[in-house]
Amino acid sequence: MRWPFKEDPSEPAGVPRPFVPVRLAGLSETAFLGLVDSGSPHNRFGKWVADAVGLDLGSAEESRLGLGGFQTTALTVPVELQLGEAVWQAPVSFCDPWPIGFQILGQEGFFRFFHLVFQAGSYWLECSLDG
Amino acid sequence: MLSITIAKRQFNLDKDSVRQAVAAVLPEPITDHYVVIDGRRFPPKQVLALTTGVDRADVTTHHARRTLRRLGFTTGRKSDDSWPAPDRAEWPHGGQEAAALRPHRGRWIAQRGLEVLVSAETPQEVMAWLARHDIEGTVVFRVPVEPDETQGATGLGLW
Repeated sequence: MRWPFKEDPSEPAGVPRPFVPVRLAGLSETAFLGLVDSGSPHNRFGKWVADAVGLDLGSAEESRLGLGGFQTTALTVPVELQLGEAVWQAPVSFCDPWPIGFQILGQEGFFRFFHLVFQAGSYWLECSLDG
Repeated sequence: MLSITIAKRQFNLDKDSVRQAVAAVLPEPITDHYVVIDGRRFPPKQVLALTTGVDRADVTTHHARRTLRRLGFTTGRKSDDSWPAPDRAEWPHGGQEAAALRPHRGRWIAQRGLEVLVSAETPQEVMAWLARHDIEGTVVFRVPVEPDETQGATGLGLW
């Protein structure tokens, strides 16, 4: 699957970035914009996403995180995620508060499952499930 | 002040009364025609129905568009849309996506293709709107205001 980078409407102009539409498989037909972020070790989503799709976080492991300028409570559970036709199960930390307008796909929950080709000069990202 | 008649009832409208009537309302899906009110696109019939309280079945799209234009609002057709941005020709969509997103900076949106279907203050409002209108196949996010908002986890210190 090849995904074009997302254009940034900021002023002054931002740079197109590798965002992809990720879904919670079987829970929602709506996708949530996820930044493919090699700098993040884990998947971090806003807790509002879990609330919106009715994901039960009752068995989640709770932890406190300090994330660049804000403190948040993370509830971590394994979730089936979907990107295009690819489905994989990975832990996601659902965080509240989450003052970020997108979700984050990190090393343990995304990169280790995929073969990824970044073609930043042409503004696209190619993802295929490993194995 | 503009005087109009709908379903044999007379209404006196001005621009502010229209803006107030839709201020707390999310636009319904745009089929083709739209009117722009405070940066948001609404179906013209929805706006006139909200402003006057009449059943929208009593209003034609043509009448609604003409009335809102006479009040000074911009109207358009989705089928005529284009977002020219020739200075971003090398970008993934030639700058058209950025141009489509720009009016919604700072707001949560649902996007399908390059089109913004709805924008709201909160993601919950967007999700509720999608459910209410049974719309699938969109992606939800907040449009950044400044480039720093899309800095990656490394920039945020997400460790």
